[in-house]
Amino acid sequence: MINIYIEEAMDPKMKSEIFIRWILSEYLKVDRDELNIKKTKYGKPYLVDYPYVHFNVTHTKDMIAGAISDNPIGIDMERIKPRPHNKRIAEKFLTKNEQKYIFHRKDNQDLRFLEVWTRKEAYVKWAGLGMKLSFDTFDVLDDDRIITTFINEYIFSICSDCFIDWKDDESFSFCFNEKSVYE
Amino acid sequence: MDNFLELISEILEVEEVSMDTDFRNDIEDWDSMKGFAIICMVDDEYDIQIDVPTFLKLKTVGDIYNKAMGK
Ligand SMILES: CC(C)(COP(=O)(O)OP(=O)(O)OC[C@H]1O[C@@H](n2cnc3c(N)ncnc32)[C@H](O)[C@@H]1OP(=O)(O)O)[C@@H](O)C(=O)NCCC(=O)NCCS
Repeated sequence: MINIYIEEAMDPKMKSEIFIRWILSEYLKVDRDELNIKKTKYGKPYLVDYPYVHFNVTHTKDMIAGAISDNPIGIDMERIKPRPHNKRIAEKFLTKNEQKYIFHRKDNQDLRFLEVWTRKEAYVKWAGLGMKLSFDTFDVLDDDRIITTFINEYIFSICSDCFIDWKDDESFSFCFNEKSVYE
Repeated sequence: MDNFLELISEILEVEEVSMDTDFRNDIEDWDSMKGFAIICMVDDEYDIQIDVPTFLKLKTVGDIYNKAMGK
């Protein structure tokens, strides 16, 4: 089971710890100030007192999203917009197979680029190694631990050891917050 | 130097940057994709290859400039 929380935020970079505390306190039904959150040496936040509760967070300028699961998890989100540097980034950092997938057709290249990109980021965040894992050393196209979806103008990828099926309500719980968690 | 700052601000999607800009903290919409775009730009424009571990140690736009100048 994966719980996903998405929230519009004014200044997400500043508030990601507040957001993490809020979603974890909802999930664990404990006071948010009681949660002891630390970061690994690679920067992945974790709960000291709940080793079997896994979570991860991602933010853009105006959105923040988090995922909680009983298995290790990584989540990445990007806003869907033109990416003028996508060709160069792909040539330099993606595998040949991924480049072929993105550029084999003229239409929707930006979208396919973001699909591959968010899958890469979700994977390295799941592994917990961040940028220590070189992007061209693994291929994310046929990895069924990773799923990708779209919500409004955002694209999301999640990497997890759970079997995930977007169409199956049992695998997911979505929470779109209407009231700001920062209030 | 002006051209360098222009290329950086275009990638960071801001009006202007200075050598002192701490890109990870001062740029509201900073993310790792922008970092990869900067690495590509420095390679294409200055023929200098910055690897990811080295880039992760850079803090300001001036640090990137010095690398691009081969310092
Ligand atoms: C994990 C990482 C790769 C994601 O970066 P991103 O796509 O820019 O940012 P996202 O919004 O998707 O995720 C950021 C969150 O991931 C989490 N995170 C950080 N390191 C992580 C790791 N090793 N594993 C899993 N999650 C991690 C943190 O909660 C972080 O939130 P915070 O910064 O508010 O504490 C990033 O933390 C990183 O390494 N950044 C380096 C930035 C950089 O200079 N990149 C240039 C590379 S060329």
